[in-house]
This record gives sequence, structure tokens and C-alpha cells, in this order.
Amino acid sequence: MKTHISEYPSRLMTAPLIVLAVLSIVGGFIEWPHNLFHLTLFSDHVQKVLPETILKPDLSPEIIFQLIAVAATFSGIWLGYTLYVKNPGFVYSWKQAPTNNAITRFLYSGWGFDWLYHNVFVRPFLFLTRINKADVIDKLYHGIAWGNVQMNRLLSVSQNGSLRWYVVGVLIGILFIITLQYMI
Amino acid sequence: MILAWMICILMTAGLLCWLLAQWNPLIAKWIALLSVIINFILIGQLCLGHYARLADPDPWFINYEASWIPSFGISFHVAMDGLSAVLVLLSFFLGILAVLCSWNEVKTRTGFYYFNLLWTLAGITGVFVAMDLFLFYFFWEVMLVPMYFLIGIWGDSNRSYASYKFFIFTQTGGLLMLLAILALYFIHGQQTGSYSFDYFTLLNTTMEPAVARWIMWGFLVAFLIKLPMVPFHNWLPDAHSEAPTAGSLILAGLLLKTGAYGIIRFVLSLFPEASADIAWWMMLLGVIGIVYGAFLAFAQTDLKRLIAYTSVSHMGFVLLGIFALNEMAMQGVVMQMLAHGISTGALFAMAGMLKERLHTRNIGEMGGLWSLMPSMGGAAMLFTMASLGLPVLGNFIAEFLILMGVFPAASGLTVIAALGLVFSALYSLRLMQRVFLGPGTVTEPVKDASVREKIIMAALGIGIIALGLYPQPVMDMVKTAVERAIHSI
Repeated sequence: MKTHISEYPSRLMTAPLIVLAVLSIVGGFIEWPHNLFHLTLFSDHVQKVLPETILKPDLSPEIIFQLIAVAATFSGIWLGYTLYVKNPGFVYSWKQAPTNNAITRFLYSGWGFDWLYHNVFVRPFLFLTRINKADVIDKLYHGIAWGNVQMNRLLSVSQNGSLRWYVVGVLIGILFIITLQYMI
Repeated sequence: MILAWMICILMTAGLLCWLLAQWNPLIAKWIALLSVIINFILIGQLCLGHYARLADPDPWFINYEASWIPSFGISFHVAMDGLSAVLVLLSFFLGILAVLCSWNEVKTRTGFYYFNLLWTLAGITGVFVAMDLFLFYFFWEVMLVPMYFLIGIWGDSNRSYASYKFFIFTQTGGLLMLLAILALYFIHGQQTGSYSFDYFTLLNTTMEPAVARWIMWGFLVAFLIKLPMVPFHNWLPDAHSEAPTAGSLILAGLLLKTGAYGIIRFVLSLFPEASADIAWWMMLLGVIGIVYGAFLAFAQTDLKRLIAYTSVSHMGFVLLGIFALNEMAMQGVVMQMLAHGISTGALFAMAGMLKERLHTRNIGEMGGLWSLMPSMGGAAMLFTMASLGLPVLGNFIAEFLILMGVFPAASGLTVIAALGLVFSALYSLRLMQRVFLGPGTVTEPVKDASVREKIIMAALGIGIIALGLYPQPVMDMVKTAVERAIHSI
């Protein structure tokens, strides 16, 4: 015994367990197949709601299938007894065998589903959201603003405060207007 | 007439606030609060009256026209039907909460602040009721300039960049819309000989398909920038994160809805064939918005920016639903407008409260706040669950109706949009986990929500649960408006 039990469970805990245990044993006996006792308490009740199960008429090897099922159950109990009660060292040494390590780990981690979901869903999602945190579409509008600033820089060359340039500009404008007037 | 009165009350109260605040700032706050409460009671009565008389054949239960500039065909024509009524009700509900939010937050130039707040609300109300296109454009701009001041003066550290961006984006859209309005005006005038800006008169304009398409794009660009649709959404995260709390509340809760309202009221009714032509592309862009907004929201570390990107994602649902062009999706769109206004408004109010206490918007510096601020954590949980579309809350009804309505129109896009619901769960839960749950990193003592803040959260919470459990009154009220928008196609 590896762990020391400090106290036995109280009656409040064992009473429901006893009820459940009795029902587990008795519950199986409310429905018997038609070649043994033919008791159909459960299916009579359920058939009022769900569609009826149609049984093939009198299949002769049916008792053989029933015996196979019983044999499988009892052999499972016997196997459990042998592996875990009579000879526990066998399972322990099998688990330690190095060839079984990878399989053990795979099965232990739930058939690797966590790893699968992490790599198929979580990592791509985190990657996509991280690279676009600053919203790449914003670059378009920053670009427009940058273009305006560059045009301002270009045109500011003409703001040099030199009166000569301004007078020449006014003259060119007047010439332009007079030419337009003669063209229209 | 009462609609004009509601707008006048807001504008006069705004002016009074600005003038009286130099004498006593508290008077300005109370005037602002009283004016919004009076308007809320008025619109509440109008809605109840309309709901009682739903069998009335005329859907426009208020219709007021006064000539303004008759030589150009401009009149002061305001009308209200179920859709406008529901949205104006939302405006004043959020308006009351916006005034309450900024009670202690605004310390400098309070009079001017409330002036801007009330005039933005007046502009929004005008947008929802204006029936003359010139008047509509006028209110569109009235909505814009005070919000620019709100962001630019009382905003956060990057406020001038954010306010410029907001102003230039929405103004460009507005100017293109003005071009389209003028084009429509001149075409109608040349056809019939009478020049008029009136919505009802212009509904009967016949245009060649190419012309109709261009004019529709003029209108559509303005509304899509406001909505916002994905290539044009970049003003939203900056404006929302740098605005003061009430500014974010009104931006997210109301301004985005004016875009959706404009599409339903103007684009679908004035240009039915052109809208039907581009419907699939608009739905695709809506779905792109849903997924792109959700991905960006997940990546953010700034709390307000995260919530701003969730707005982009939810408004993608609205765009998807509008252009499905069937009644169920449209009902979903109206529900989404209301539910998103309430839930995202609440999240922004909460982000503002957190910022006041922690002086940071960075999620990395928050953590484990639930044990320090249990009532705020509870409220945040409610609104985060609303944002991700939990049943019992309003957003679920909205998204469900939209998906049901879009499925017959474009089933592939519906699948991707439904995946968008999963992505919304991702960012919402990330928000909750990083801010309120997890290991505590905040060392200074933080106070839980005060009574005023609890009132705000309670009002919004009751609103979102009421919408989720009992959406039928809203759906009944907007039924005729929604049917007319679709059956013109």
C-alpha cells in the first residue's frame, strides 16, 4: 500500500455507493434476449417513443455469440487479475522498455491532439495577429500624408522671401491671364 | 415640430453651458444633464405613442416641413418613422450616460466641453430625422466639428493626430456625398423642372444605370467611411482610443450608426438597382471587416484600441446584413446597431473608468483587477459576454438574425461570418483574462465603482438584457421602415 488511509468514508458517502452498486447489478436484468428468458421491460417502455428494433427471427447460433461475449468479459477480468494483482512487475518493466517510449508518450498526450491543435490553429493565428498589429492599411494613409509633406517641401522652395521672385511671379500671372482672355 | 424642438433644446442648452460655466461649472453640468433627460423623456413618449399606433398605414408618424431657402428648393423637412425613433431613443439614452460619464472627468473648460457634447448630439439627432438632403448634409457636418474639438482638446496624449485623422477621413467622405447630393439635385431638376433637395421628391428620380452608380458611390463612400468598412477604418482606432470617455461612448455608440442609417435610408431607397448590383461585393467587404477587425482586436495591447477594433468587427456584421437585402437580415442590422451601441458604449465607459484609476491603457500593466474591483469586474464580464454574442443579451439576437438572413443570399460568406463569432470570443476572453482575471500586478489601491458609475453600468446592463430577452417591440417598430428599404429593390 503506497498511501496511508487516515479514515474510512462516512456513511453519507457509502450509502449512495451501495444504492448505485445494487442498481448496477439489478439494472442489467430488466432486459433478457428472446432466446433466454425473453424479458422486455426496458424495450417495451422505450418503444413508445423511439422506433422499434426489428429482430431477425430465430438465428440459431445466437447463444454462441452470447457465450463469446461472456467469455470476453471474464477473460478481461482474468487478464486484469494476472497483470495487476498476481504479477505487477510485468507491466512496470514493459513500460520502461525504451522501444515503447514514443508510443507511450503519444498515447499519454491524448493522441497528440493538443500538439496538433497548437500547430494548426494556435500558432498561425498568433503569427497572423502579431505581424499585423499596427494595421498595414494604415501605411496607405501615412503614405498619403507623407506625399503631401513632400509636395510641401517642393513648393516651399518658392517661399524664399526674395521680392524679385515675387514680382516676377505676379508678372507671369498677369501675362497668363491676358493670354487666356485673348484665347477665349 | 417636436423634432425641431428636441434639436433646439440641445443647441440652446449647449450655448447656455458654454456661457454659464465661467460663473459656475456645476450649473453647466446640470443644464446639460437636464436637457438630455428632457429630450429622452420626449422621445420616449414619442416611441410609446408610435408603438401603440403601429397599425397606422402611414409609417412617418411625425412629418414637419418648413420652407427654409425656397429659391433653391431647400426646406427644413424633418420626419420620424420607426427606424429613426429607435435610433434617436438610443442617442438620448447614450447622451445621458455620456454626460454622467464626464461629470468628474472634465476639469478644464467644462462649458465648452458640454457645448461640444450637446451639439454633437444635436447633429446626430438631426442626421437621424432630416428628410431634406441639404439639411441632412448640414447636420452631418454639425456632427463632425464638435467631435473634432472633443477629441482634440480633451483627449489623450496622441489627440491631435487622432482628431486630424478623424476629421479628414469623415470630411472627405462628406464632401463626396455633397457632390453626389448636388448631382442628384441637378439631374432631378433637369428632368422635372422643379429643383428640390427633398428626400421624398428625389425618391422618384429616374437615372441611367451608369449615372445612378456614380451618384450612389458618392453617398456610399461617406457612409462606408463612417461605418467603418475595412479599407477606410483607420480613423476609428485612433479616434476611439484618444477621445475622452464620453467622446468614445458617443463615437462608438452613435456616430457609427449614422453610417449604417444613411445606407439604409438613402442608398438602398434612392438607388435600388445599383445597390443590388454591388450587394455581393459589399457583403464580401463586410465579412473581410468582421475577420480583419477580430484579428486586429486580438493583437492589441491598448485597452481602448482593442475595443475600437471590436467595433470594426461588429460593424462588418452590419454591412453584411444590410446588403443581404432581406427582411430578417435588416431586422438583425437594426438590433445590432442598438445592441452594439449599448455594449461597446459600456465597454468604453469601463475603459475610461479604468484609465482614471490606473492612468494607463496598457493591458500588460493590468491584471487580477476583479478582486480589487468586484462590481466593475462583474459589469465588464456582462458586457464582454454581450460583445461576444452570448444568448440572453442583445448582440446574440442581432448576429443570429443577420446570419439567418444572409444564409440564403450568400452561404459561403455566412460560414466565414460565423467563424467571425469564434474570433470575437477569442478577443473578448483575452480582454477579460488580461484585465480582470489572472495574477494581480496592480500595487496601488484602486477604488471600486462609485454610485454614479454603478448607475451608468446598471442602465446599460438593463438595456442590453432587455434587448436580449424582449427584442420584439424594437422589431415591430422598425418593420415598415425596413420593408420599404428592401422592397424598393
